[in-house]
Amino acid sequence: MIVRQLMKTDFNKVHQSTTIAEAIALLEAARVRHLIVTDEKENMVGIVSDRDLRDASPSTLNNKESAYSMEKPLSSVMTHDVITAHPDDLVEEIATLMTQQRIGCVPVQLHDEIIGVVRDKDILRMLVKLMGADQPTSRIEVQVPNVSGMLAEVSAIIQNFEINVQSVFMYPAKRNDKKMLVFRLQTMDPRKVIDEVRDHGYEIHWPIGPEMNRYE
Amino acid sequence: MSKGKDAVFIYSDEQQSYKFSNDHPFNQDRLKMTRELLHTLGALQKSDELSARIAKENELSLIHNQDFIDAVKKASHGTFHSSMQTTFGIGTDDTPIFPGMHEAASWLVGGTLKAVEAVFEEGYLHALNLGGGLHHGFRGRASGFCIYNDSSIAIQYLRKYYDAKVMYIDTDAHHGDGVQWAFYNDPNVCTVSLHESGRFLFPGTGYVNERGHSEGYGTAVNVPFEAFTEDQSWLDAYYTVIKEVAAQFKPDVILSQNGVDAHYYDPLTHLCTTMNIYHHIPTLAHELAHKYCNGRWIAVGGGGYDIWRVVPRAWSIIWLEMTDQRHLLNQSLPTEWLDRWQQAAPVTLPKQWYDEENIYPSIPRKREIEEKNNRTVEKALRPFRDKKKRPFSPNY
Ligand SMILES: [Zn+2]
Ligand SMILES: [Zn+2]
Repeated sequence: MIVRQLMKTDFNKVHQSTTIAEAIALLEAARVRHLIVTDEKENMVGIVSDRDLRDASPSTLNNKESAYSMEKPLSSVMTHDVITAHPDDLVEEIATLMTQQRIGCVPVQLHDEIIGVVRDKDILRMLVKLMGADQPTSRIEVQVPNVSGMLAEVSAIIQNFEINVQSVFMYPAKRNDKKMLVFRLQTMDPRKVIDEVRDHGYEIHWPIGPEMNRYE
Repeated sequence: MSKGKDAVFIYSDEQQSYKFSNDHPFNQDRLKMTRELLHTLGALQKSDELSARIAKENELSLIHNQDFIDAVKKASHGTFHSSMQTTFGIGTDDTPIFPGMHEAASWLVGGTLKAVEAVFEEGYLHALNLGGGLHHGFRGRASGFCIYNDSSIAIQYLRKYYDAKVMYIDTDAHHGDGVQWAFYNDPNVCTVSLHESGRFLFPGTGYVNERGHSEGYGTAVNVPFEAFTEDQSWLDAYYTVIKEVAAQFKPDVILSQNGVDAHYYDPLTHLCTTMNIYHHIPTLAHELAHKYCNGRWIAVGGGGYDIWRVVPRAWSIIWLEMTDQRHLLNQSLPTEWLDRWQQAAPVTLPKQWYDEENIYPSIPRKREIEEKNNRTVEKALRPFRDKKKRPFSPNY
């Protein structure tokens, strides 16, 4: 999946001369956490987050100074050196970047124009979709040896049924020589699939019987 | 409290035509077995019954999209495209196509609408349509054995024609997703679903943080139970949540969905409850209907895939509760009924109205499960207990 498929195209822009007080009001009214800061020509010159603004807001100790600081322009607190994405970037690349740099919003730039933003919540929404959790499904977990071809083999077993696989993911099991496959199947009755997978010698990690229900 | 005549049992043979195939887990022999059990007990007379009816197409479209209804009609009469699987969820392993499926599904809807009419037009206090409760049906898509969603349609009907505030109580082991999403924004419909956590079980939704949206915020309540939850923990949650929500929401009518697949014997789910909970569920619904709704209580069926040991007993109790005939539960199940059905059953039919002790092995994580469920109940009720954020106060 690429950034273009996920970015939000309506986002909030403000001019760099906007005061901190005005910007705080804007964030609250629009219920967003980031503003793209522009110059007269609508070119991006920075980005500002609710956190930057909160940090710039005065403590109650010195009222005179606080009133003064709230009237400062945004350009005094914004991040100038903005990390941007390209619409054709891979989503996992941007997600990695956001985690490493601890940022919650990345503007998407094409040529010289900002055409959208990717926020941490867009990434989360995609994760929900990827995991198939937004569609009615049953979940089964299969532990397989950590050798190549296992996903294909288990998938082939499932393919014998008229059941749509909504999502598949794989994660390392506790044991190094094992891997866990997770399938979200679009069925209310996965029993036949489970029996068949088990009959092929794979270990079903869920569902299990009540007496087996322990977290190791 | 009500006497016999105050409650009505809705049924017709056409409800049994909702049949996907011989080995499909959704088996309407449940209706026949339950009715026969009640007849044999002497608890259900001809005069207690009203015929179900078939829902009209304009009633289906109170909830369902026209293109979906058209697709079901086509499939029903033999025209099928494989694209219907992905677009409309029919012709799948869960919801295979069968001749007359449109009509069969419309009869189940009509039964629940008949129950609404019995209560709102014909002066009955309580009405039971065990053929209803198909809570997974979406506006434009069949799901989880459900084609048309009788409960959603009945609720919309109650909103449209009677402007009633509806409390929907769903105790099926699966999340009542179809009904919840249909009324997610509606502040006059409060959907409460108690179900096995969607972490593994179909449909995967019903998290405690699903609470409704915009105007309807606070009018969706979800209690997802840990797998292998037992009676006491289940009932603690049920009593606490249903009582608090009813007291604040103050419904005009209660619609209870009585799926009985939370039982340990049920082959599709992973809860460890017993018949005990099915003695309590209708009792509280009945009590609250008299307390808040002038008695108006509509009950429907739902899931339930151990049709031998669980469904006939659990569903009969609803009727016995509705008609104040619980004294009949003090004796064993009638021998005549047991003898007749034992011949067909692949398992030994229980002879008492409660299960024997120790039908399931002891649960190693019992205490953690109870602890987790308690926290879930607290979270589910948080908006109701936080006075500043009460969901139903006018200025919220
Ligand atoms: Zn009554
Ligand atoms: Zn169910």
